[in-house]
Amino acid sequence: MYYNIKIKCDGCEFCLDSNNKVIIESEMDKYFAVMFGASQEFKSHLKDVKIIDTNVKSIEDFKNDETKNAEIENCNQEYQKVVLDDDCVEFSDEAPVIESAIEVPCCEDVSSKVNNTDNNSIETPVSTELTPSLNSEIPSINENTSLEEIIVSEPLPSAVESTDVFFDSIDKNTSDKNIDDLIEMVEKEIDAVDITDVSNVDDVLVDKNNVSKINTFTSEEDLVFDKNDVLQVELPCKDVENQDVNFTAVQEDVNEIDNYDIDKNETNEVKKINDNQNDCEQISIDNLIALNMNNNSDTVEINRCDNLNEQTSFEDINQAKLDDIFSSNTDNDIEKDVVANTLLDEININPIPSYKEYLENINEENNKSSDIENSTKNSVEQNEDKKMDFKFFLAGFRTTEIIDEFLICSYYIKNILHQNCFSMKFINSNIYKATGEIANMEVVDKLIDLGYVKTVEIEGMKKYTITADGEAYFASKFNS
Amino acid sequence: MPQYVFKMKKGELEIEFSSDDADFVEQQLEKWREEILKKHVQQD
Repeated sequence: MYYNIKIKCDGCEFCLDSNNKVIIESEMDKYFAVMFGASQEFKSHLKDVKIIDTNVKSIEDFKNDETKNAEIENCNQEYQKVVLDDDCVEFSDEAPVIESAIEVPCCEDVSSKVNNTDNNSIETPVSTELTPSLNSEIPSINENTSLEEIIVSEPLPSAVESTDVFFDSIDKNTSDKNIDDLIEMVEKEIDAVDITDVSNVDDVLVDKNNVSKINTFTSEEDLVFDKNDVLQVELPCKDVENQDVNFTAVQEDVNEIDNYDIDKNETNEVKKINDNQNDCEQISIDNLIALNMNNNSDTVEINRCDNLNEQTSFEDINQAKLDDIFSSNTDNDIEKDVVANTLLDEININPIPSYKEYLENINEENNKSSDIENSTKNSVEQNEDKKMDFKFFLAGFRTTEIIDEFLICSYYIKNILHQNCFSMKFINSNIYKATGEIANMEVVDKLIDLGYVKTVEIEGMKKYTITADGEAYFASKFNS
Repeated sequence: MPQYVFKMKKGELEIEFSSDDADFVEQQLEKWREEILKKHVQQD
């Protein structure tokens, strides 16, 4: 069985929880009597009752038990400690409800504790409890603390290590001075460093004269280069450290290649030069002729240039070769003739065509091939037309009857067109082209009755074909 | 098991009585009701 009574008075609350029916009944009667008698009596009665133990038969017996009182004090202390340690506890005017059978604090005691909370007295022990931990982390700083000690206790991050130099400049004897004096010293040091003073910057930056040179160099007149200007560039490489490399302005005139000092005996070097010109440059004719003269025209490769405007006609080259051969200083005329004949033979056997001639040849070849294709195609079409021309085939036979024309056409279809069977539509199209007439079913039925034509059913379609008797009749009648 | 809870309030005073003994609750409430009636009779 469960019995419980809870009393609230002036914000204070206590309860009596017990399975003892007699105690609950008596206490309830007492409180009920007080409640409906006089409230003052009830309050005075509550003051006398600190705690009610359910195991105590009566309140008077409980008051006389000193051990229980000691337990009550311990319980109150534990309760106070728990409340103080818990930051989430919010103290209100109402006392906490203790439903334990043992811990039923007196309204007065609890209220006294609650009253203490109103004076913020509880927060004090909490702060004193936290203070030691904070003191262990934060060094105590007072007026006698030196700046050096502060710096040592709070090391600066590595990113501001450069400031150590500044702090090192402070006299270590200043530890005895107070913070105000140190602050004044710091301010003086800061004032001593004039950031706006840029006089020393000139030592770091480029010389002012050099800057003026740069300024004059950036003028537009200096940036415009003439074709004949020679730029002197000093390469940073150690191998050419003391060498001035001259880069002449590149000119598009091909004749400028004549400026190369070509030794007639160094053909291979000329070939290298030729290769380096990316196959697009032309060596002057005179040099080519000169090279040809000494190397029998075998060592120089003439690269074709796609630029038609600058192209040199090879006919002119060959003519120039001949002129140069006969105008050479060689006294031996036989040798001249041999060289000239050799050159002429090469020109005649394998003449080097110009680019225009090359294109013309290609076009001619293309035209020829297209003409051949067209002629072949036309001939095939003509043959097909001849094959399809039944009128030409029918002209060889003297007949005007439609039945004979039908039999001849059926023979034509099988032996000329090589088709085993035909429809009425197909054979009439051939007969109509040749004679202008159309065969009807009476003609077909008559030929079928004679046994010259028979019907054939192919894919559900009724078609006709000439029989062997029909071919024999055709041969005996018309070939004779 | 049923639980019976009764609250009596007069001014600032409040008594909450709870038990699962239905007979006890019935007898206690009846007794209190009689006392209250006696009080009112006496006052009248």
